[in-house]
Amino acid sequence: MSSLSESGNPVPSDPDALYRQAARDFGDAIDRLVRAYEREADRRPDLRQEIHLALWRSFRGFEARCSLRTWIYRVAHNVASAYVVRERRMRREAWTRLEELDRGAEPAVFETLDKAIALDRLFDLIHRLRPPDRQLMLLYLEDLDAASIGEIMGLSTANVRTRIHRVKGVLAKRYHAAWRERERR
Amino acid sequence: MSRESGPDLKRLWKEQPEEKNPMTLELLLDQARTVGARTRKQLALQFFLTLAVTIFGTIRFLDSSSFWLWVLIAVVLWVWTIRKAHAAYGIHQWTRPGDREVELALRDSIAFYRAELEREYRQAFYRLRPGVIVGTLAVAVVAVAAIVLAGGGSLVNLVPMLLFVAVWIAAAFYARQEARRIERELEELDRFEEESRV
Repeated sequence: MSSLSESGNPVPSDPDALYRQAARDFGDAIDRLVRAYEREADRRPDLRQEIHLALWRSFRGFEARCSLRTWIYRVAHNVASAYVVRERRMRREAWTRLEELDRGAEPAVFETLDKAIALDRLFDLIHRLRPPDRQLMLLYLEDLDAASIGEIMGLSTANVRTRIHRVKGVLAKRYHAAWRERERR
Repeated sequence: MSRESGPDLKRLWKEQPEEKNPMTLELLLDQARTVGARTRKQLALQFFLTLAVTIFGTIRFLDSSSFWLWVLIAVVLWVWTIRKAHAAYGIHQWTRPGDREVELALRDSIAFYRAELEREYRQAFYRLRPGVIVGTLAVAVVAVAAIVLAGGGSLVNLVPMLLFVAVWIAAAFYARQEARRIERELEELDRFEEESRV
């Protein structure tokens, strides 16, 4: 078992202690992930609880063959993927590919880049993505490196880098152009 | 946010408003206990109700000509109760540490997503299969009835049966659409993985 977590704290061996550490260190990241997978605020607690419960249940099998962070993100994304696949049967949401968003992007999409509006638009964009693209976008926004993203998603590091380049392209088209426009004014 | 590169989206993302009540182990265990207690109560109620109905029915129908019909009903009741007990056991397991969740962490997210889509696809087909069997039988009955009625009966009597066939067709069409939608998602995932190999 590895001795230190990403936050520098020792990784405990007891499942309950592991869960406490996960909830403390990654609770906010899980909340952001929940918001990215569930549009409706009143339904978010269910998904949040489902992820936390799955995490707690999973730690019995944690043998530190991967990092605690990889373990947590895998469980959280997998529970969330299963949730959106299940929910989609009822809701009929249209998903799209990252490349399609890239093609359809309008550079000056925001008149103002107020933080709250920018965040809302970012969530809107994320909610439209298929789970693999969505996972990549979220892990990129959480500031994980390509190797860690690859380990969580099961992709090569080189491939993750190529895809992150596309993610950056989509975000640049939608945000940065509008931002520069506002700065000029 | 830097002037050159535009808004720092990673910072914007991480600085978004947080949930008011962070999840703790105590809260989680408390919720698990509540679910467990509710399930046990429902199961106990179901068991005692079935037992009471069985005893009452057996006494009532013991010397009756309908006794064997009653035995059949009692068997169905007990099968239903056992099914409920099985489902309750699943919920009970859900509130304890388990191996299934370890699987969630050991499978990478793309492989897991594919497995979920394939499971949904199989389910869509399971929903379709009984529909096909029942629907085929219904169509056969309608055909036979039509032939019989052609010999003198009224076709108005066929309306309920035709309605049933219409509902079946709609349900089968929905299940097929569902399966087709999941097929498209699987094709998209194939494309995603294909591009990942390049």
